[in-house]
Amino acid sequence: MSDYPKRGGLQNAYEDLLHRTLASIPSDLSRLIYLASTRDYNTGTYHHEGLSVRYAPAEARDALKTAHQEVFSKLATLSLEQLVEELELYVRVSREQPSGLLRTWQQLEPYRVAVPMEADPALVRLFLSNIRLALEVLKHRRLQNQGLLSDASPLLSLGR
Amino acid sequence: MMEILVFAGIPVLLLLLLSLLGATWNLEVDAPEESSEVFARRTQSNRDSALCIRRIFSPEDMRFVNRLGSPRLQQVYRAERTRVALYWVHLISVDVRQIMRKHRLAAASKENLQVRREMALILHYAEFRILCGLLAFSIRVFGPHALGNIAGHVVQLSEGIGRVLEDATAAGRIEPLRNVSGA
Repeated sequence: MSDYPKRGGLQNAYEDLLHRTLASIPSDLSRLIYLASTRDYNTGTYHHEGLSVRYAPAEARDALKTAHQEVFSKLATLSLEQLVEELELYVRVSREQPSGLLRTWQQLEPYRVAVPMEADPALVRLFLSNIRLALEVLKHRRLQNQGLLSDASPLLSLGR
Repeated sequence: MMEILVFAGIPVLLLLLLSLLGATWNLEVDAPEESSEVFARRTQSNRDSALCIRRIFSPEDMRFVNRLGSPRLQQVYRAERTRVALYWVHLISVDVRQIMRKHRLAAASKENLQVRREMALILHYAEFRILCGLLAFSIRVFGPHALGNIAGHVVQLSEGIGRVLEDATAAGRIEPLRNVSGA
């Protein structure tokens, strides 16, 4: 006899993920990073300990994959202003030094690995470009607040 | 001699003027991969694609950046959004070119080609290519928001080409059956 499904179906697994795990994460950007972290770098398959205990592995995997795609689509089609707010919230709740986090994100571009594998390529481009812009906007605001703003220092290579 | 100088000078002046307007001739754009897998991914969610196109060509983000009052941010924004818009134009051109190539190969071995449908297809495709060229030119010269409405027409045309080809494929399947049944 199979250990699962104690509650059947992809829909249940998805709702479980949405209401238990993702609801406790404060922003969509944090949710995206979290969901991407449940994906194996080598195989691209998703794994979540709690979900796979309660549901069949395929259902748990598909629920994570669906949630990842949905959160990504939502973020990628946000206006730049909304994305800046998302990023601001992400920086705030990360409890890291904002300047350090912004610098790391600009240099290492860790958000690139947060993109789902089957995403629309144009949407991926738009998302990556908007994140770069949002980082620039936040950096600009920080410099403005500190009174250090100088338009002479190019922070982002235009030729990239 | 004077005439030659005038004729040679006009294009140079035009290019100079366009460069002053902020045209982005030297901006490198990544070419999309030419594979059917990419097309499959792109057609997975029409809603996402429609939202993506609206977002790329909508001036809303530009207005937000302008409100921040930083010329450097405006410059970065224009370069970034231009790159994304050009990538989208390349991507849709590659998609439709691939579909047309496949259709051409399939049509070469077909005996029951409908001339009217093929002519309509060629006209649609020519219109599509011209609009893509115009859109890419306008993106480079005036930025991604100047002729954003053309993007909608480009999508409609690509969908129209897809529909004609779907009909042709369906008709191609029906025709041999008719031959078999002697109709």
